[in-house]
Amino acid sequence: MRKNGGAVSIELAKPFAGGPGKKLQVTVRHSPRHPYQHLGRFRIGVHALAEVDASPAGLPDPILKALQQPASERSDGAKKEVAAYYRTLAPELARLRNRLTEVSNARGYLALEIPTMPVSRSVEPREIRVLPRGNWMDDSGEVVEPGVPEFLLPVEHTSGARMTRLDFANWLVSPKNPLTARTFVNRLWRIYFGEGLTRTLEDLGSQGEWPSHPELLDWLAVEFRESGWNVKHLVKLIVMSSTYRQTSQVSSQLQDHDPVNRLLGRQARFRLDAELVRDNALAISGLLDATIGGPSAKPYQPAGYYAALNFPTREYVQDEGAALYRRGVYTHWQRTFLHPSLMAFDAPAREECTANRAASNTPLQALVLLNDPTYVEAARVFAEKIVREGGNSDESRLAWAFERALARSPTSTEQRVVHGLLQQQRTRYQQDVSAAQALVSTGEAPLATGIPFAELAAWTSVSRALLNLHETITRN
Amino acid sequence: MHGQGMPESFTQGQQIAQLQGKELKCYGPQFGFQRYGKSGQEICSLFPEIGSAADDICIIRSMYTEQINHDPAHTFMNTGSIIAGRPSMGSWLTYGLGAEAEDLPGFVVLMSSGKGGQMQPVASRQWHSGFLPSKFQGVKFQSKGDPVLYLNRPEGVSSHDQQEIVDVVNQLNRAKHDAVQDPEILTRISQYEMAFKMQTSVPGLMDVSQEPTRVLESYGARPGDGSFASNCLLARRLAERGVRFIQLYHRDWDHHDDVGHVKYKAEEVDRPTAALIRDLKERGMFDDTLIIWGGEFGRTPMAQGKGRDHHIKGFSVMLAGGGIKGGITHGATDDLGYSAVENPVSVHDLHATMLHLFGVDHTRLTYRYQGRNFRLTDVHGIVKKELFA
Repeated sequence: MRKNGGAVSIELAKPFAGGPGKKLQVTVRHSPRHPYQHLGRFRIGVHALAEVDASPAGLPDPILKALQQPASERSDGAKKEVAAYYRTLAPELARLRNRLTEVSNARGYLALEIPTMPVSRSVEPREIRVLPRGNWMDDSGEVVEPGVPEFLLPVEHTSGARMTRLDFANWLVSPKNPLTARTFVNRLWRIYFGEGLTRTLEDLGSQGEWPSHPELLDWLAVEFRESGWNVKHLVKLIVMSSTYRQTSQVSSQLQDHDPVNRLLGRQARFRLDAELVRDNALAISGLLDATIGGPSAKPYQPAGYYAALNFPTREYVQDEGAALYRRGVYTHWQRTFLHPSLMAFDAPAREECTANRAASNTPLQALVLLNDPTYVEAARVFAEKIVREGGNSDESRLAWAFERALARSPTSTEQRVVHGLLQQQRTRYQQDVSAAQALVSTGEAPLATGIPFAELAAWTSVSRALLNLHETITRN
Repeated sequence: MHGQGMPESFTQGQQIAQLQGKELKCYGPQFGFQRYGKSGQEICSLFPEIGSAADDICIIRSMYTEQINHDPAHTFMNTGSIIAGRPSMGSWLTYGLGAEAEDLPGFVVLMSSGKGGQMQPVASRQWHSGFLPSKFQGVKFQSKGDPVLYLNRPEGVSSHDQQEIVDVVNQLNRAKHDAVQDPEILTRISQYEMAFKMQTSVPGLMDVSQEPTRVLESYGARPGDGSFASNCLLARRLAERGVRFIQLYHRDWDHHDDVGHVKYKAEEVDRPTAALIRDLKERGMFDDTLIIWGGEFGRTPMAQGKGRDHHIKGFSVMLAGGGIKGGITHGATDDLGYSAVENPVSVHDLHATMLHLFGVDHTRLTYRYQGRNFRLTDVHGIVKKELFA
């Protein structure tokens, strides 16, 4: 077998004796290492010559013609062509040619790994009409062009009569248009205080709620815009303020005076959002993988949850290793069947734009925190951490566990109650070590070594209790 | 008319699904119809058991909808809007009325599948609470594994262990509440109590083997088979325990290729449906329980091979109990079964009528969201008083 440029010649070991009714079957198998590395267009030829060589007949026409001329009569162009063609065959260049092929292949594979953004060429915009009563089959409505509602700041058109997307983008961030910055700032405020300065996050218009502190909202909006839309600057500004750093403890006088805390006389107390409930438990246990970006992650999910899907039917294949502990925002989003743990904590199905999530309080949330393997695993890994890092006595370990989960020391009552649970569970699991082993084997994290199962299981019960506290899933 | 061309006067300018642009031929009933009961209601002879309950049911023959494809039509039937993300009717009703059940969710969804392969997917948005608080969301009970997701305790944790942990959680939460007086904490405590109760009540509820053999046989249910029959029986058990809204999905009705397969569906649903009606009557629950039985749209009176395409201009829905007049047929389609022409009933009308039967004025059950009040019936809906007993 000989390689000749883009051609391969194959000599049969035994001559094929043709004849009537005899068939020569040629099978071409494509088994490339890379899915894009297939033969493109190819031809198969058969001939009966005993030996194959690079006969003149195999040369491309222009080269053959040039070579048929005496060298002295060849034009410079033809000479160059012949030389270029020769470089594809010259044995002394084989090593370099191979190297070149390798490098250009490697480059091609690299290019395939770089995500590309499909871009469509802009075409003549379609005629858009108002649809009377929403009827898309009725084209009697008025022709309309891109624009913003009339009561807002008009959009400046840079070219022609029609508004372009660039015009709109400029309008969004124009110093004359306070709405974008105000809306963003208001939403950011909600993250740190549980409610926006205007509580209707999705509506800063006349149907929305008047802001509790209009001047503050405006000031923050201007600060945000003038900082070059620097989110970090804004976050620092908020979290370093004395308003943010207040306690959420409320005196009964303040409670009576301002029950829903519109005057920000205290910090707010609110439940963490769905993804953060998960992140928080994983972070407490030390399991959290905080890597930014990358493909979606598939954490534990009950079997059969996708049974109602079809076209095609789907089998959820859970990830392994570090991907199990990625942040909640990276959880795979099945549009019609959102991950049940996230759904239980009010993650929206993304079917409607949801600026403001509800923070419900349901028995399903209790079931998730009690029984979802994600939380049981986090608890048993947290238990291991408590035993290893929390000192040597029950007391110091309990104090350490409270610090880690709640960022505070336990009260004497808490210490007593949780210690009671620890002792009760310790006795119980010492009598049933196989149950202890089953509990501390939940999830795929490596089994702790060097700690007796019963001891680890008893601490797992303690850490399950801590991870289930209202305070643990609450931003206090 | 069977096999003849469908007159253009019926179909011109109409939206149809897969038959769009194809030659349209009339396709007559593939199974006979019979008169049942004293009322002499006309019911397909594949449904003799439902026929035996003819005097208890009301058949609306003049339903129409606005959506020709499954998912949007389904969403419309459940939420009154084709725009995904609105609350489902079960959520509206539990939001409006609450639920009596103390150890079960107020809105429960059960699903079963048929023998055939015509399984349309069902999205969880069909029982989603949309913009209503998520406690009004339907809870789908799984037919395999834990009936309620995450209901079962972790390995190595006994019921007593779980109780100990929940007790500690509640004690610490109560201490926290004493310190900070946050009412959310009290709700959290009661939800943990409820969750703990559900760990016993749900398996108890799902275990239909406690039912007398006579009852199991009347439904045709075998404990744990996940069938429509079992789900009908479970629906009765849920209703008995005060669950407000129970939704049963039975998949596999998309008979484009062979409408003859309806006979398998009839085998799956006829007896359990009739058994549920009888069972509710025997227990004195029939007058307080509204049964709505139907799909998101109908099928064409035109052939698609041996099957029928999606159809939105006229289809049937069955109602029973809960203040519905039994033994009546409401409305009619035209001579070829194409369009609802007599007393047409829209999906919004069905919703308005349903809410009325629950004592709720559909124009006043509202929720403010994104700057306006929303209703299950939006700006539509006529209560069909003719259907009331």
